[in-house]
Amino acid sequence: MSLFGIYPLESLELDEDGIKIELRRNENVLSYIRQTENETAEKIISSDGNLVVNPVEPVNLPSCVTNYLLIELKKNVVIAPKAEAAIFVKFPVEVGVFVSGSGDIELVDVFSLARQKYTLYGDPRNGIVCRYWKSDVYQSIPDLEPLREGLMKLEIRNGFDEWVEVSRCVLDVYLMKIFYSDELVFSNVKMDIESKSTAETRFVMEPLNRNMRKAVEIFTPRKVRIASKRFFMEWGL
Amino acid sequence: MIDILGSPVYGNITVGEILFSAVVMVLAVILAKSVTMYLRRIIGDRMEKNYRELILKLVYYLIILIGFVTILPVLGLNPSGLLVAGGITGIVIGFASQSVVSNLISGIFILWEKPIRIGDQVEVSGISGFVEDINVMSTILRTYDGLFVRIPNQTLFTGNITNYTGNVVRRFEYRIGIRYSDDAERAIGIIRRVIDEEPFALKNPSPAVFVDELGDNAVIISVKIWSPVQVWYDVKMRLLAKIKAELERSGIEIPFPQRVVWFANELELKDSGKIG
Repeated sequence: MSLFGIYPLESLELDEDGIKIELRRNENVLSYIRQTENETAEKIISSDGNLVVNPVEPVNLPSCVTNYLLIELKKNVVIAPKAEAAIFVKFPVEVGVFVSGSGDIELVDVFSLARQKYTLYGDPRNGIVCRYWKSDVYQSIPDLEPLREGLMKLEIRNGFDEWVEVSRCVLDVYLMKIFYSDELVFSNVKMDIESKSTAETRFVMEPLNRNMRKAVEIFTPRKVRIASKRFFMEWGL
Repeated sequence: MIDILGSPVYGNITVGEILFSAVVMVLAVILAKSVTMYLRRIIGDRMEKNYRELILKLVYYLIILIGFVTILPVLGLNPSGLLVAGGITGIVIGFASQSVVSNLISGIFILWEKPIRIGDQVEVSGISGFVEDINVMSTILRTYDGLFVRIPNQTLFTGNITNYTGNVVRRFEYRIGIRYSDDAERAIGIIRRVIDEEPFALKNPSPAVFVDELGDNAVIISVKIWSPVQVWYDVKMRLLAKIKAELERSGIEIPFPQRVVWFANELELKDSGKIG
């Protein structure tokens, strides 16, 4: 059981892992109250429709300063020329709460239990600020807490003629495809290595199993335009 | 009425032709404003503000220029003749409008080189603030106190410009004094932990925390932290208070200025109590 799901906009009370989400009917409007360990958010919702609670792109907290996620691997992955490798890593989960109805969907709240930290990829002049996350490398699906960590399948393909060592993966999360079930938050990524220090990363629209539901991403309600479907890692792997 | 409109003002130019020219110019201005307003609405947030404003200005002045060129023959002026007939008039106008042209050229170079963009935080000629607008002749700053400052583009172009938000990240520094009796290594560990807990104190480039100086009254610890430019000032304000609170909680104090005074002779202390 987890918080994730679609609920009708009626009186509601969800309590999981120290997070409490409550909808209170007050005449014609609903009061939305979300409580975590040290934070409370309150909003008034006026319309009928649904409340959608699902994982979203992990770059919104404490405030949105970037759309990139950098996952540093605790153990480097060394890949032979023209070889492929599939590994699992963890990524931070942020939970988005949306209201949907009348053909539109709007974000009302984002919160997270995962540690928030940011880093720079590249140099201060041309580099990019990224959400930072350090993960072990797994050969099979590890134990996960779906409200804190998601599972990412990282398929690395070395198209270069030499051995390449990968220590991190940088992703443009505006292109992120997230799937979820009660037990698992999942995202699928492909990394195409082009040289010793450059690679292209992209998200793949493919859940881990058929029972998973596609998450509503934040960039959809915000109507963010997508310039490219890939991110080019040009400042090292 | 017809006689008034047909009466010549100078040469063959009549009142009617001057009125017609004025109407064309007014229409050109109205059209320019309407088109730029429409374009602003269409472009919206789809383009970076800096480029959007540049395009809108180009469109605005292009329409005005077309209107102006249209009325020149009506006023008896031949545009091609104007280009040829520079001569003394051109030199006189050139000298008179030297600063105007200088500002104009500087403005074009600023728009081309882009050392600053609308919304950047900059310091120019000792004035700090947000860039509100970059016009062809001048640049508008809004100081941190909310004052409106117009800087001629020539001043901007020839002076030193410090763009605080020119790069994606920037560094700031604290200098924290602790007592000589406190454990500096422990203090450094506490400061590092506080920095590590702050999301926007960047992991890489990594923060530097080290004993920088053995001062008169305190051991000075230098703390250098990188942060995204959008939030660096918030982080700077927030983090120092956290570091102070955490050091105090651990019994490490920030000392007051102090001086040890040695007397050549021992002080004679008055002993009011008598030992019986």
